[in-house]
Amino acid sequence: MTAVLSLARHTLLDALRERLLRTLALFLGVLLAATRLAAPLTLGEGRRVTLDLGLGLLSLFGFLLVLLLGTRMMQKEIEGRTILLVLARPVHRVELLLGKFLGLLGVLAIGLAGMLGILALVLVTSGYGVDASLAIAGLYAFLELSILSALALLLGACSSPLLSAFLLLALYVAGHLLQGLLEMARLVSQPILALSLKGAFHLLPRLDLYGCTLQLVHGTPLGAGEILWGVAYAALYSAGVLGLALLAFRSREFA
Amino acid sequence: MVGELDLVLRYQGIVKVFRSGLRRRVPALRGVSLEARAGEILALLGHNGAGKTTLIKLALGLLRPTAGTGELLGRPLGDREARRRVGFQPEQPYLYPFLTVGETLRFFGELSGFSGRRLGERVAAAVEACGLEAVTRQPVRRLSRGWQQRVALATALLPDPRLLFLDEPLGGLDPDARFALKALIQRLRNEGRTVVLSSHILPDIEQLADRVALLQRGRVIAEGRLETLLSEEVEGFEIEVRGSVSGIPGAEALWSRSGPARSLWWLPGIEAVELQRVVRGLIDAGVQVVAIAPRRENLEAFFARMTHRETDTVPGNSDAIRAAG
Amino acid sequence: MRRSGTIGLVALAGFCVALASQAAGEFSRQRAPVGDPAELALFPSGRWLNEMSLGHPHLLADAAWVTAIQYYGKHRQTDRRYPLAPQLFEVITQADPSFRNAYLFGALVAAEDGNPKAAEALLRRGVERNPRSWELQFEFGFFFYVYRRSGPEAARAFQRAAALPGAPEYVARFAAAAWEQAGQPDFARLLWERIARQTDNPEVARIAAERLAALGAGASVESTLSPGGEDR
Repeated sequence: MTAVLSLARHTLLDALRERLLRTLALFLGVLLAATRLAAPLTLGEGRRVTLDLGLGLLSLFGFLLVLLLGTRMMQKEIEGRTILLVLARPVHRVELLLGKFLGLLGVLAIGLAGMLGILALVLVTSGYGVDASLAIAGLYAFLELSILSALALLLGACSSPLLSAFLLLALYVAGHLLQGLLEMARLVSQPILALSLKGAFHLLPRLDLYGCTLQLVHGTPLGAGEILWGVAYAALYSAGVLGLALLAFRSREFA
Repeated sequence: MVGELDLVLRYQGIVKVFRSGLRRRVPALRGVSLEARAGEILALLGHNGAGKTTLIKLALGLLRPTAGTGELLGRPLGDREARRRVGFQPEQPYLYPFLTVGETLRFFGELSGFSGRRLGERVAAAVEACGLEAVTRQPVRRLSRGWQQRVALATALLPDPRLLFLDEPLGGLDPDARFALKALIQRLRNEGRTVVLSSHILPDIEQLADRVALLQRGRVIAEGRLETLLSEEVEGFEIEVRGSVSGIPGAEALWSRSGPARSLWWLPGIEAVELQRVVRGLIDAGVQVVAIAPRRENLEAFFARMTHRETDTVPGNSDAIRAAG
Repeated sequence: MRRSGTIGLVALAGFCVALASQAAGEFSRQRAPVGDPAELALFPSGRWLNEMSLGHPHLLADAAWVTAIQYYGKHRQTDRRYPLAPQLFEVITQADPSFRNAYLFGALVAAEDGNPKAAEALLRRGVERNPRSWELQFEFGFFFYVYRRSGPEAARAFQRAAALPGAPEYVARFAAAAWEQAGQPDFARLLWERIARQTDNPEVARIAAERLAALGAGASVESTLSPGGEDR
């Protein structure tokens, strides 16, 4: 466990020193603060627009973090050959993978918390008020991104950073269009095709379930049961994906 | 008497074939059998691509053998528990540039399973052993290559290793650092630890190694103690003289100094009788003969001799590769 | 040993994903629906846009809303014609079926443009998608009252609004007044009686008493009508 935590901390520190990420965070943070300027254009819907834009930027920031960091994480160690020194220690490959995953989650948590803080500040200074539902929106974004993080590590363990990024983007899009797959499965006549579509529906990440902004904007409360199932899904799906990542990674050799 | 208990590393019929693309197979090791015991320095020699680094990485689990078996500290090659007491310094200092020296050592110390006070003790010991006191707060990226080498060595020493793998450790070091490293290697050996050393700097190997294994194209073509491997045959004599000498028949000037005049001459293949005549001639000419030393085959000459021969007939190699398919 | 480890890992990964699929089903069932999916299926263009928004339909609604306001403002100052308004508000309300103000404002703009049919259609969609929104039902009533000049339709809408949770007291009074003006004193009396009975506001009670007196004390007709009023 010490190795996992040590690797996680190391991953976090490495990411926080990345200039590209700091630039990205600054840029999106400024954009987020600028949403305050959108309110006068909205004819009384300022809170709604601020929340929508803010949570959208949050989601974009998180996705870019995972795309830029997660897909390159393993390759960076391999190309820099630091993986030789790490794996020469009494470190299981699963510990390395878990450490990287937890480190990436740590980066996401810090980044999202920062962005949420800015959004809350914008809402408060605009006179709209803030409640716990904003934190829940942040949690949902975090859960969605944790699934994407696990996928990024799986892809990074199997392919190059560029291909991994492309595939991750494809999975992100697919994960939001799954209802379409299910409806197609109902409409097609060939049983094998229908089964394949249903299979794809269950295997692909259900990212569409984590969009809660509409509820947030209209003040619909999110139940504790719903939140718990959301956490359960993210945890189970990520565990399955990390298992596959370990399968790919454990057989890799480092000449 | 050396027994099985002293065996810290063993390779038995190791074959390693790399696959390149769908069809291409690159054999890196072709049936290597080798052992290392406690309290010895084993040097791996060979040209680039001979398989030295591949052997080391197989021991550490970074690669898996295509065929053959082996043991690392009594456990299978690459075993995680065995790696707790193994240190490894790769041929380049692959370090994290953004960490300071102190942070680097703490990080790798944690990965070695240390924490708390024990971690602090191990880090302090590694810093002292490698003379890194002055640079612990510096980021690794700001250090010269030689200092980075030292940091890499310090990470290898962190687990208080029983077995230390050093891949080209002497390259890039200044004379002081090389001297200190050689002294450290010898001290480790004297403490009963084992050092497996891969290097191209043959004079240093000749000074350090107890045993040598010479690899060529994935096979061990010679292995044993240096004194048994090197030829006893005298190849010639070196004569150091004081006084002005413009030339000695049949001799090659190795170096000369002026103020006062001194020079060293190499007389290849000279018989003792002829040597006596040369010396008498020098004395008669008023030249002072300071020293006469026989020259036997050194490691460099041995290396050149062995690697230029055909070496295709190590028993069992072909069988081993066929078995690996 | 390596092979058994591989099989174990694959089995574990598969088990986790299968369990995750079950969890997703529960998660999905627990989510409160926003808008009626069946309704959305009737508007393929809006639905397609929804899906293309990649989980951010609200952003689409916001962008369309701002565009609609700018569109209205520009034409308000020039030709006062808003032919694209129905399309714009259709997109907004498809993306966010609970965007109440979009229905209201859209209906106003369409009505101002001399297109009461589009206004009615928009409000009707709003009411159907948000059956528990008293505001939309109330505005629906106003639309009938002001633009269609249909007293009974207005009164029914006001009465439905008054029965919805959160509706303020005055909504019932609107309903009662609308029934009066529609020439339906019985319905009016029913509502005034109910108001007088339920209110704890003395001023409201006084108004209700005055209206009842003006309508003439007749037998209570409550028992002859369904509690929610006549269906529309």
